Amino acid sequence: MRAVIVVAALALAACGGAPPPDRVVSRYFETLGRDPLRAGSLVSGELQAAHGLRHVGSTRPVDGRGRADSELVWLATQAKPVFAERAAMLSVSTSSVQEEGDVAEISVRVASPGAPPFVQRFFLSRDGTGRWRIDRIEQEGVTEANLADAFVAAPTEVLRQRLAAALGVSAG
Amino acid sequence: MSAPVAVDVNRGRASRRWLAASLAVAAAGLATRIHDIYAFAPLHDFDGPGHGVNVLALERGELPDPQGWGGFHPPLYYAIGAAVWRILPERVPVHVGLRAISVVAGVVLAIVLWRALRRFVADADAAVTAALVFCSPVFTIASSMLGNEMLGASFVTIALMRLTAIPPQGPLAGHAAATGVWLALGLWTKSSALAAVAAAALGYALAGRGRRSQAFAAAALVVVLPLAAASAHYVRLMRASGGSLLSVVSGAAMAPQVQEEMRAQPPGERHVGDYVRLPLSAFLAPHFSAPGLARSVPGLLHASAWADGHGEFLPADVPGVLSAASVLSCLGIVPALVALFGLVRLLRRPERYRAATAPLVFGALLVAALVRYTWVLPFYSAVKASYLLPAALPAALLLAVGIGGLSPGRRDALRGFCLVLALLASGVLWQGWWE
Repeated sequence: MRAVIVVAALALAACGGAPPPDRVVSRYFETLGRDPLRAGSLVSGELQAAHGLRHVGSTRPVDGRGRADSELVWLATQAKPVFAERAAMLSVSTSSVQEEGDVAEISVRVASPGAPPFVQRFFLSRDGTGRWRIDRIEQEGVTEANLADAFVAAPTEVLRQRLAAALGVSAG
Repeated sequence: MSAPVAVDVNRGRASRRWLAASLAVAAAGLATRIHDIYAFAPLHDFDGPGHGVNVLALERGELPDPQGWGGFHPPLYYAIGAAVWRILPERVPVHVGLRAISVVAGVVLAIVLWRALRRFVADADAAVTAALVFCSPVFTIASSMLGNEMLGASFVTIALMRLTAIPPQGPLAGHAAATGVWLALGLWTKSSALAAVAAAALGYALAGRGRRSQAFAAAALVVVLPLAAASAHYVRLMRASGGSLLSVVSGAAMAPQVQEEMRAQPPGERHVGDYVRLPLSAFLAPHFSAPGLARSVPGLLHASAWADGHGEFLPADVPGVLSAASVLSCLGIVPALVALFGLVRLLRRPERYRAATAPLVFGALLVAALVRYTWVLPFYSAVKASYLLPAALPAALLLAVGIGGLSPGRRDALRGFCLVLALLASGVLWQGWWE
């Protein structure tokens, strides 16, 4: 029965063509906060292992924790009401698309009303089923003025603590 | 037309009116759910992110990590969720699709309830009871949220219904095998089905009087088939946890995040008095943060059955919402007392409800398991009425038997009260009415 479930899931996962990497990046922004599970399916275990997000007040070390734990906190972060509100305000335009074999790099410009724009670079790779997933995100031009946007666009513990400090609240 | 026929015709008309009214109320409950699965904030469901992680794993073609928050849960709900995801249009968020599974499971459960109750009580009482259970806060909330509770409860209820209809003559093996399949599906969805396996064995053993070898074979089949079919999951859990039995029913056995979060919850330790204390706050302010409620097991069970005792669905900090929930909790005292009356009636005439023995035993086992669970995990989040959803059939039976025990005038008044309460609950649980 267990094998049936996994095979069925894989078979269904293979149904339909895989969207190209720039479409994956577009969907990432479309789904942030609004459709967290779809957003979660676009990022790889490598990104989940790197964000370092922790539950507020948690004292457990994040190094070496399993993918499930990392995904849990990532999803819980997106579930915050203010996250979805902020994500809806982001406006994204693609600057460059580079695709070579099974790796791709997409650069976008992220802006929101009243905040300076910043650049966000996505590094993607194709997984075993042929689907593109986001492995790594880098940002340039992040300042205090657009810190909230940067956090929503790529939630990490480093940005969360910077944001908490900027807002004058406990980083937990 | 002679008088007895006229009475029968009038009773038939009255019964059809109650059925129509119950259907209308249930339709309102369904409308609330369809609205709420869209309107309720993403992943604010009980353990929403934890269930979401499991669906993500199945979507990738992997089994959930048993060390993860909800990884101890059997994978069937999540596999169905991953399958639904594949056919979901992009404009429909995945969490809405997952919640829709719970809606469908809830509708199926309510229909099964109604059909099962009709074997024991008047059609009108069966319809009204099923509508009230369907629209009750605990049922509405669980069947509007993503998660495995409602699907697991529906599989168990189907199996329990079959136990009330074991053929009085002839071979039992086929019937037991089919029941075993439903129990296997239940075990692949939620571990609370384990108690239903025990009750099913009892059911076939009792029904086989006069055909002992068949009864024994049927009882063995209804145990072996589901346990064998679901053993892969539970053996995997036991291996991952180093043999902990708690791992079968709670993430607290293995998931460090669960342990950390639970340790921070009140009350933190249990006393026998927690199982008898019933503070007024259960009715007047049915939220776990109210004085004494986090500690009171019966209080929090009532508050989570007839309101939103854990504050997972309604914004308790919004003026008016807690008051509305309090009205439901206060009115919920009536069906609770009627169910107690039904229990007394049932105990006084057990032969009339013999066919319901197995479901009733299951209900008692589940309650005993919950008492044990809340003692071992002395935290308010372990006291949830939704853990008793698989016992919807025996609970509904007690309520329906209680309604049927009243004089005709009082019975009609109580039926009307139940439908009004059901309608009120559907209104209070409509997401966003407070805005």
